[in-house]
Amino acid sequence: MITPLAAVIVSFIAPMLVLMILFAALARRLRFNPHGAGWCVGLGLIALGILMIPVAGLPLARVLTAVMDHWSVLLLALLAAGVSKTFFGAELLRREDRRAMWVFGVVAGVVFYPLALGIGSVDPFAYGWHFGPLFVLVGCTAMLLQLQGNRFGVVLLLAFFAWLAGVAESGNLWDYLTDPVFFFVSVGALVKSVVTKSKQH
Amino acid sequence: MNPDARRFIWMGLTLALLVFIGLRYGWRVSPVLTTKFVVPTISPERIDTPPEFHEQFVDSRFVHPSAHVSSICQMPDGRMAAVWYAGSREGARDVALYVSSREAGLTNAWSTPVSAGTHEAAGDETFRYVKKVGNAIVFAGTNNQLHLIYVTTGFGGWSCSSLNLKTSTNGGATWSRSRRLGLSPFFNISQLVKNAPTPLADGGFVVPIYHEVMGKFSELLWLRPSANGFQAFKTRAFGGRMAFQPALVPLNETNALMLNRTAGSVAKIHATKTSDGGRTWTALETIDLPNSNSGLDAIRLMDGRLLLAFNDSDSSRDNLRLAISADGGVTWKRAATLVAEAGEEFSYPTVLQTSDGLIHVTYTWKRKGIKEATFNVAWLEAQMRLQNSEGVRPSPGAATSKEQAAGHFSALSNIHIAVPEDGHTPSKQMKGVRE
Repeated sequence: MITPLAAVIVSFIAPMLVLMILFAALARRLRFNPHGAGWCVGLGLIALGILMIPVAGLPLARVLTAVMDHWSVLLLALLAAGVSKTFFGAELLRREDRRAMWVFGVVAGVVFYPLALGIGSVDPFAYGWHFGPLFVLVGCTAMLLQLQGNRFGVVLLLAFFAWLAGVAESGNLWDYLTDPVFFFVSVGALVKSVVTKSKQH
Repeated sequence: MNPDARRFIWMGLTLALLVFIGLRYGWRVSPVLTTKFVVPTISPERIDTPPEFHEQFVDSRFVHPSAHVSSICQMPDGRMAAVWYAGSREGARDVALYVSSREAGLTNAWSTPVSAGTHEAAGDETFRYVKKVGNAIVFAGTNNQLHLIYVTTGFGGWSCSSLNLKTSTNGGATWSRSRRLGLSPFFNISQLVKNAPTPLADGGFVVPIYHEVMGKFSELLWLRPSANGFQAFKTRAFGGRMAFQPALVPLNETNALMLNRTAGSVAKIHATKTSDGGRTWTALETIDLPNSNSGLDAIRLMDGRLLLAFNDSDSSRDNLRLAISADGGVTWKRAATLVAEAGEEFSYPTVLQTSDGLIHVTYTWKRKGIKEATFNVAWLEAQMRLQNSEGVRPSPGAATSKEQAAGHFSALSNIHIAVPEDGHTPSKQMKGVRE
């Protein structure tokens, strides 16, 4: 009857990854080279320390859940890939993988949120509770992406696993696929990508 | 490994997982499972019993300056439970949920309320920041369980609310830890509750809930029995910004009426119906009763008629009336006035018919307390007869001393008005007045 342990762990890990990326960017501005396991562990511990600071009787990370209720698997994957690239130079998600995720994030957000928030009587969110058309659609998309060698397909598979394991408070597949922050990040990244491309032309 | 082989391994894994989920949970096109509503047994109460009416405060101590949004239910042992919130003002940090209980019957008094939750307790139990607590409903489950669903917010106003569920196995004396329900994709906010659930044949419940961000509309929270208590999910009755805060009235096993508070410019009660167990709902229609953007509640009486408690005004909450429908909610007739006093607020009614046939209506009294009106069907019938002959009548609770002296109501019923010691109610106490 209480908050799943996995959801609590994610509520610490996700903002920790965000802070690690921000700290690494700050370090680069200060002319350091934040690369390697030492930097990763060091900045990770600093980030975790900040998130453990008690605010209103709770660790800061848990206070943040008042706003950021859940982190989608897709956003977590982007953050993990960002940390991996920043500290180890390893590209877990390549440009084309990320772009596919951003497109999904934008399309899902633009179509999904207005409907889920009451524009009309159709509620796509309702199809995330049980195995049905949404699951097949996402599964087929994942397999199509995997066939093309796009790693976004693997991330979608991870979302299925997370839903099955019930790592979030919600039992709705949508909450594993997208969240409002992922939507805004996707919009920003896609806009930036388009602007950069047009400048190159 | 060969990249092609890797691709096919991933695809095979995805397909296997899909098949596994499909086999484990089964294919469902509609989010709503096949189930049936549980409706009260039809056993018309004799109406040749004397009309009886009694009023009392659920908490007559008036410890808190503000109290609002009550909910009542009958527990398996026959006793009644009530929950509401009270504090210095609505939304204040000192607001807490309070639970009280009483023996069923006309005049039995409510027990001294005990706290059932504060924002600190909700924060501790859900391990997250909770700014305030609000609307709560209480309902009886199986195995002597009493369930409480209540609203919390971490930031913002009520439209940023989430729902929490906890359970008591000792009549509300102690409660389990709260479980926060993840029901909304948008920061899990804008889920609120006001009216009681309808039991389902499989041991679950369908709770009428509502949404207030962007759209204002009514939804259904389905609680299905599972190994860990309840599996919770929701579906939508309708979208848009026309109406919200629903009251769900089961008509039979598959048909139900949903009455809604208006959210738009049409100051009428909005209704929609389902004939397939809540899967689909008809387009919203208005019924011929006003609504001033205020809460309402309705139940199906044991005799099959529907009873509605509402503010009979398109602009204020200064009266609380009852209306009856004998045709499943198609037409309504005003039946009685519970309370009316210009410039005051009597709002957020909750209606319950207990197994003894008595009807209980609790409501917010002037935002200072929770009042309960208890009456039998005979009183309702007598009020309707007078209503038909004289039009809308003033309330028994708000009767002026002149009216009381003239025995304005005494011909109708035994009127019992329990008065708190601090004089918050009319100073006269009428007990067993009969002509």
